[in-house]
Amino acid sequence: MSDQTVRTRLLFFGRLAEQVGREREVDIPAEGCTIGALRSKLADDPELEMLAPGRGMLASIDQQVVQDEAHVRSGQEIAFFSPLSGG
Amino acid sequence: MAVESRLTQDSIVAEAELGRFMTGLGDAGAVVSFCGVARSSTREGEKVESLQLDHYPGMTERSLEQIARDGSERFGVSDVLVIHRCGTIQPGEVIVFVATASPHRRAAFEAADYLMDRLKTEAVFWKKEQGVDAARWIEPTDEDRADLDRWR
Repeated sequence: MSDQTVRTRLLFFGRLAEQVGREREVDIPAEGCTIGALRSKLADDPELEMLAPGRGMLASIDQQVVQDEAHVRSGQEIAFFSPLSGG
Repeated sequence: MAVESRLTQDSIVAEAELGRFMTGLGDAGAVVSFCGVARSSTREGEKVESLQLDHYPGMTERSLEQIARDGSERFGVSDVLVIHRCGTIQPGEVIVFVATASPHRRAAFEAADYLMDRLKTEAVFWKKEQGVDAARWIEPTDEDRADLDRWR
């Protein structure tokens, strides 16, 4: 990862939003990173540790659910949320 | 073929929606409708004061559109209508309304069943039961996932 970072806004929904608020800003590398790397970075904050990989929280980029291998760049819309429950 | 989906904060009046749906039909021989209604008690028997449905503007509407379109294409039904609430819902109110129409009944029944199984686990909502003392987030159960697996 380079030293250059870009401030990026994250959105939260469902149980996660209730616990940590609706949105938060984070610095990501200027060249982007994977969702998995972003999760690990966020999970260093004890308040966001439930975002660590494998903890069941889902991620989306530009409103499409993605896996941890997905690559994200600044300017894209990134969201994290608990499992869906409609109907 | 008409496929319509709608997200609303307002009450769903099922009989009015069904009436409107049937008015627009061509030569359908079968119409099936389903209402999901907010229960007044939890699975454990505790009173529910209200239900909160969180959603992701844009992504939620598209998930409803996609599910409605998939149901229509998979079963070859002539018409599909899906309406889903968001926001605060009182016990007894309709959360979700689904209607399907087809030349013969089997496709209409199966499409409605399929739509509900998809909506339960794949529509972009987060549901919370507000009880008297505490609130609880609802997440899909093993039963919901098994229901969805029937269509794979």
